[in-house]
Amino acid sequence: MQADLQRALFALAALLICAPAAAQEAPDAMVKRVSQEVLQIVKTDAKVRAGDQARIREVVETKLAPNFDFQRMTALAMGRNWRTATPEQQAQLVEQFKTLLVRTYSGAITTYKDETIEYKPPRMDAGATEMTMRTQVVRASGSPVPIDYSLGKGADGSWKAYDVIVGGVSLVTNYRDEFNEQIKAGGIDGLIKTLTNKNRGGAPA
Amino acid sequence: MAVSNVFNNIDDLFSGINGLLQGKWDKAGNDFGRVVLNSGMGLFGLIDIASDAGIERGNEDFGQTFGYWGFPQGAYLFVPLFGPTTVRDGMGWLVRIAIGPVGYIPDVPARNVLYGIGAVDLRSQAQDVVTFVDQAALDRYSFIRRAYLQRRQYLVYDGNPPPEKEEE
Repeated sequence: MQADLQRALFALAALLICAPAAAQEAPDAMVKRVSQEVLQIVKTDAKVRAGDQARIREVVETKLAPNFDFQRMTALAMGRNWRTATPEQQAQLVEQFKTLLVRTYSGAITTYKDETIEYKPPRMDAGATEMTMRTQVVRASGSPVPIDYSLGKGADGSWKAYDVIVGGVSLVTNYRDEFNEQIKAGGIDGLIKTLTNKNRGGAPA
Repeated sequence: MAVSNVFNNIDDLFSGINGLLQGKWDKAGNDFGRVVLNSGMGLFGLIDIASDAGIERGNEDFGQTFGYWGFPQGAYLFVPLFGPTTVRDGMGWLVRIAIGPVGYIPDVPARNVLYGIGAVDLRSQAQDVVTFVDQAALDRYSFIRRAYLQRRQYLVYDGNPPPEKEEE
């Protein structure tokens, strides 16, 4: 109990100390830090390597997810349908889409083994609030896979990713068709229902 | 590994031919350089010496050449045992099969599905990819279709496709 409390207080203190520093972090530095941190965990954490789903989910939730702007991702994937959704529907959509992405990433992340990540020099103007960070995942065999992150600067000054483009395939664009079809078939509530069912472990259609 | 290197070597040859057809002389030269190096010193393509030497693989094909020439994509199709394609890319494959080594054909379905999710040569990781699509997709068909179309557009424009209209 005692140790637990101590750890919690320490974590809180660390959070308070780090928060102002993190807000000033440049977008390319953020992408580097987060990807290296996660890659390191995937390669060395015994539980993650053993496929412990709870631990993997925890890593994705605490290390990756805070650096994504799920609200913006959801709005982009919804396209023009976003404005027709009520605030309650929007909140539910963001929540369910986030859960889906976290689950998907948790499944994909363990496929990393001997990869290294290369970072292209960032190109952005001073005062920019949008940028694309280009990276490349290099594997022991086969061609490197380009992965680009679209990032935006929030009102609090922190940068967050709102799209991931793997080999030219944009995650958000990919979901736009899916969302559109669901909305055409069952309206926005239909889409929420499909997402919720899927997140409960239902099989894909 | 060695077997896939042989397939890759054949791919490199066709990538070079398509580089020429699109007037991309440097890329074509790169591809032909790889073929010469790997076919000779690499024991008929069994060993990918060129990659070890840092010469990256090209990825041109007839479908991209048709796109470069301005042919429209045409309808998207999911062909059983072949995977996702469009009329334009299908025509590209027909040209390829017509002049390519026959022994290559059985490899087409696996390869084409992988093209679709943007993981061209992750053949050994096909199971990971299937798991990913199952986890990510609300509707597998439309998910793969969109990924395939995005991937092909990206390749036709050599990694710099014009931005899609944003409907924010």
